[in-house]
Amino acid sequence: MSKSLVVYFPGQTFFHKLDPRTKIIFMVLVSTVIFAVQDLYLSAFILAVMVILWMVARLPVAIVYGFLKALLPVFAFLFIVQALLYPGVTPIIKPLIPSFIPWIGGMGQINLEGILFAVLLMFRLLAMVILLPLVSMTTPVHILALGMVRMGLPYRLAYTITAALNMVPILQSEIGVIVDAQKLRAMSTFEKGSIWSKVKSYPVLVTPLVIGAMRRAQSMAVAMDSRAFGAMKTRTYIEDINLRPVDWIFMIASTIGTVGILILATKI
Amino acid sequence: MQNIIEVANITYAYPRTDIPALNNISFSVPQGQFVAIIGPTGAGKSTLCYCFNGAVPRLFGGEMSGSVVVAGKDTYENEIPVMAQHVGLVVQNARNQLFNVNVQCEIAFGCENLGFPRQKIIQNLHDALTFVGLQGYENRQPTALSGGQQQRVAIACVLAMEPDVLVLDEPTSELDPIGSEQVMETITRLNRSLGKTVILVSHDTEFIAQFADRVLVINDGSLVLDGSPREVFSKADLLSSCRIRPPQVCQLSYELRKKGFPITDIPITIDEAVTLYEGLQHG
Repeated sequence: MSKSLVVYFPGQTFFHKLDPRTKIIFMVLVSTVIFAVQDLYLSAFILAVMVILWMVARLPVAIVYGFLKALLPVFAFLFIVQALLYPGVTPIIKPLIPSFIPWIGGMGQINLEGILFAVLLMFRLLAMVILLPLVSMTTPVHILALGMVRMGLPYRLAYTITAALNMVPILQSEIGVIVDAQKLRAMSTFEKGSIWSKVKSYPVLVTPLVIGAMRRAQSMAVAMDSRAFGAMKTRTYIEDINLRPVDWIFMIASTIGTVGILILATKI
Repeated sequence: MQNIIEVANITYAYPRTDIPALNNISFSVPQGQFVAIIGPTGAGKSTLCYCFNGAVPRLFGGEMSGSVVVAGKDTYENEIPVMAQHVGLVVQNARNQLFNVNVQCEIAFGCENLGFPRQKIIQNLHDALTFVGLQGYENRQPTALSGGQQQRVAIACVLAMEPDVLVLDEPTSELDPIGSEQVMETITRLNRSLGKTVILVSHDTEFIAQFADRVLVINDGSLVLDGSPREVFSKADLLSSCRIRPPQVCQLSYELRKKGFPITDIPITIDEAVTLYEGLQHG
């Protein structure tokens, strides 16, 4: 997967220029809709909107492919489980196990409903997964933090959230360093080994990563306090954010869209 | 001259240890002095650095007695962010002290926390970047800079907060020679041009001999020697018992003296050594 995941991806698009507050509200609305909507077509519509916005923001499409690739095992699992276990009435494949066998007879029947349900879950999962980077990659973290503060979140909490986002690329590069160091010492399981040997070699990757992250957290705490983190009640911000007409339009449009979809969802 | 730092009888042990990391250390530093701290690895130099803004014991825990007062503020009574207005701390690992998205955010971070007016922050940001020689780096990612540049950004970060004292804990130990030189040059100017009180922990005794006003030698958590670079680097036996490498010109002079050459005052800089050896040659 791309290295620049969740990290700000500079751009001058309409979506980049939206106020962070607009994007946060948008994120909350879309999450609600994704959770509430159980309908296949509506979910497909939401996912399509996400993908269109992704294109509008000119974010690399490779990242979406990356998500798809990473989620493939999850999707495969969903398909198998839902196809076999979802109670349905439209069989596509006749029961694998003949019905005269007691107890397990009749099992293994694959229904259309199960497959459709798996597709629905997949759409919702993908829309959810795209949502966070759509916002975090189009907004520099300090602007995102400022947006949260202006929305009433305490600065300490807002900074903690953005610092966590900031840690993602740092930990990613740390993983790279550890894997490289182990490759240099002739350990190739992360590249070639079987799934089982990969699982077995996880401790040698995770242990240094966790210890390193803890050390880093300790020295970061010293560095942050040394720079007067949380010293004053009123903090100054050198950057400023403003809600422009386009923000209001976008917010109103997404609210109307959300309400519309929710009404449709209850009717279906 | 007024003392900006008063350290009185501090003894400190980290949590879950019996052996104190610092053992009854006392000294005071007048405003504007350039103080170097030297000592072997594990002597307690970093621990001492963390005392100046109260990170020891506030962040690290453990037992501490004695008092540290900087600019009239006691570290017992004032939290680290309050002390930070008077003491700027730069640590060994440049990467761990830079945690913002770009250099501008990084340097503004401290000033914003202190609630400086916006215009002043922009001015301080510009001044600090110019001082460390990194104009035009505002939008660069701190993690993508070289080690020396990162360390100079770290210095600019604390400088922009206008502290009276800058504490630098081995700022060059992870840098290449050129990066080190640029950082050391910046540190010298902090003291000479801006008149900041500087506490520098370093193994670079050549640099210390040339630029520091005073040297503190720490060994096993105790202050074993406190004097001018000349006084400290003349004590060959004590330095070697503390596993400290004195400047090479000093080492050469110790050896020559052992061989019977009439050297009374150990030279501590190359220029002094040249004058001395020319005298020996002619005399």
